[in-house]
Amino acid sequence: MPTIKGCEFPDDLYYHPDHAWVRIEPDGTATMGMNDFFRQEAGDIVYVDLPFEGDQTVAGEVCGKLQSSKWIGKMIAPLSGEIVAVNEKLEGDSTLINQSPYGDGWIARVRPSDWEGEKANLMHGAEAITPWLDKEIAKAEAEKKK
Amino acid sequence: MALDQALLTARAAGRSPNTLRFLQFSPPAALVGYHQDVAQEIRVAWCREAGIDIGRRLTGGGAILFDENQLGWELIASSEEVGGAPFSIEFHRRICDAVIEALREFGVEAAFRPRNDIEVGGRKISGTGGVEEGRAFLFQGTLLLDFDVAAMIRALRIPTEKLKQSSLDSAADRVTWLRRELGHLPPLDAIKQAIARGFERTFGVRLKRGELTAEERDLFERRLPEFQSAAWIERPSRQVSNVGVFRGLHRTDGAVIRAAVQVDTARQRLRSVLITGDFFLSPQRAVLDIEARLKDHRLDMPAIRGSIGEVWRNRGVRTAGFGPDDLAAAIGAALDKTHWLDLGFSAAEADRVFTANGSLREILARPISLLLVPYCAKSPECDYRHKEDCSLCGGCTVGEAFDLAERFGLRAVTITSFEHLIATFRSARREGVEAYIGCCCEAFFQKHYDDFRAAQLPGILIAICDTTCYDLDQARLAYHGQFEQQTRLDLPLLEKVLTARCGAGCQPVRNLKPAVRASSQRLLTG
Repeated sequence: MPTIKGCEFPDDLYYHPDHAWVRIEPDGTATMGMNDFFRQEAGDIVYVDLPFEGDQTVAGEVCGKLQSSKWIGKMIAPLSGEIVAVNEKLEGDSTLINQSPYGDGWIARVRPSDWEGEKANLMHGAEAITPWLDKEIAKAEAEKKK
Repeated sequence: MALDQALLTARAAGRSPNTLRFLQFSPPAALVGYHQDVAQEIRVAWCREAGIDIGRRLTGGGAILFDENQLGWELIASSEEVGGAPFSIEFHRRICDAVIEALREFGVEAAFRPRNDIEVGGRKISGTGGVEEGRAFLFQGTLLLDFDVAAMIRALRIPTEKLKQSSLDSAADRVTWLRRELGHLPPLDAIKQAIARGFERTFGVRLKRGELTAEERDLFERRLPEFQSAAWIERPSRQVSNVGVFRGLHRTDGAVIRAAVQVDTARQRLRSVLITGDFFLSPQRAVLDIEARLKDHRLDMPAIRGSIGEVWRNRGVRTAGFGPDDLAAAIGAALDKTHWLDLGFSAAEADRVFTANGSLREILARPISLLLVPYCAKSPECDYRHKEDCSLCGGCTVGEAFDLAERFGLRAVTITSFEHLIATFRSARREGVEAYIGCCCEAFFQKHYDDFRAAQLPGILIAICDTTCYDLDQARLAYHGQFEQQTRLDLPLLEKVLTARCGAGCQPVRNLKPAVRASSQRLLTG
């Protein structure tokens, strides 16, 4: 699994700057979850507010909530479409996101409404991801120094 | 909460400035964190009676009683003012630094403890929590000005052991408050000014007193009904919780370690641990740091051991006669009890059963052929009080226990003194007994923990009811078989345990010594 700056970023996935990832499945649906940088920085996820099947997602807008410790953060949808499945196992064990952010910790599956149009807004491949990740890490380092 | 939401919405829309807000509640309010369950966290009937409002926060975190002993402080700002990812520890640390600065102004040596605490000497003085909306966030904390443990446990469901004073002292000892640290309480305004200065210095800004804008007031009024509604306050969660408290004990040569563990078995979380007992550990605050580290932890023993080890190393812990794995063992003993839940036991029942020389799963897999009951459960007038067997006269719980034993194919023996117990263990091992069930009080088990272990016989032990010789301070008499009060066996629980294990064909006992005199008459007295 390709590692960039100590974080895993599988190269078949597409990444949104707000830390969600997308995998296009053979049947054309898109699975999404949270990336490894998020996993490392957020700590154990204690609650997940999953979206509901049938909900519409809009790229760049909130589609769920993730609580780590006492912080309730948002999940920003990386693409637009209709939710066709949610990972209910997360309700019994939200730390699946920590244990397997790209596997068992998947969050929802969407039928995309405009994948060809929207995928240009996502990062794909180390060349695209590395500069963005550099900036995220720099921001985190700057915080630590303050 | 409605005001929190109004400020947050307005900030996220870019129509309000970054805001520092202070709040207090009068009448007092019991507030749950966003994802919590009111019935599980709050004593609703008591709060209604006492005129305490019940509410739900926008932010995560635990249940709190918010009265004039706490000062709420909140930052509503855009995320980029703080910098870094909002879900990171550094983001929260930076905001807490502002309040820590303020406390230091008063001479209180406060510090940030990841991920959410402001602590003094390891004791929490302010809890915190946060929530995002758009590119803005609300981060809030409650600073303890003073502390009334009685008020807190009346309003909140806090796992305390039968409200024993030592348990309350333990709960109070995990927190501290400004009055305790300073010996007096500065005027509220002075505290707020100091916190305001702390934010100014930490973020390099100047704060100006302000009022709610018209838009904020309007948003507040429009959303107030929502936050007062049952739908919000009782918010049913998709994630069902199943919270129980289980206690575990572990002893080494140098230490007695007790863990009271609050577990959510439906969501696989260790919610909190209270570690008490008799041990030497330095620095003392490290115990509190370990508890903080285990808050809401994943229910996974290797991970728990790892987390304890981390704190152990970070704090440079030194101890006498035990190590981090012994702490983990006490927690493990508590968590082991959750296995009973799978067998249909309630949390309260499960907590009354403990094991020696094996985990529950291990022992239940063995044939169990022996039942041991203590003589103190027989009547002081009974002819058999100081004898191994029983005439099953029906006059006390021991007779029924003997009857149960016979039904389930176990040999029953009354233990008449400590020496007798050891001798019984020895002869049982010689006879090839693989495991036993026993009824004894937890104090006896704790005191003779090493003897139970040394006997090397796996056993399931059920706590007995009523005042024991230890409660009455007559343990020495009991040791010699001279304790003259009567206790009660927990027969329903004993039967449940026997059914769970022995329901399907127990092995009949070899070399059976007659437990029941063939010629005894059974007198069933009312």
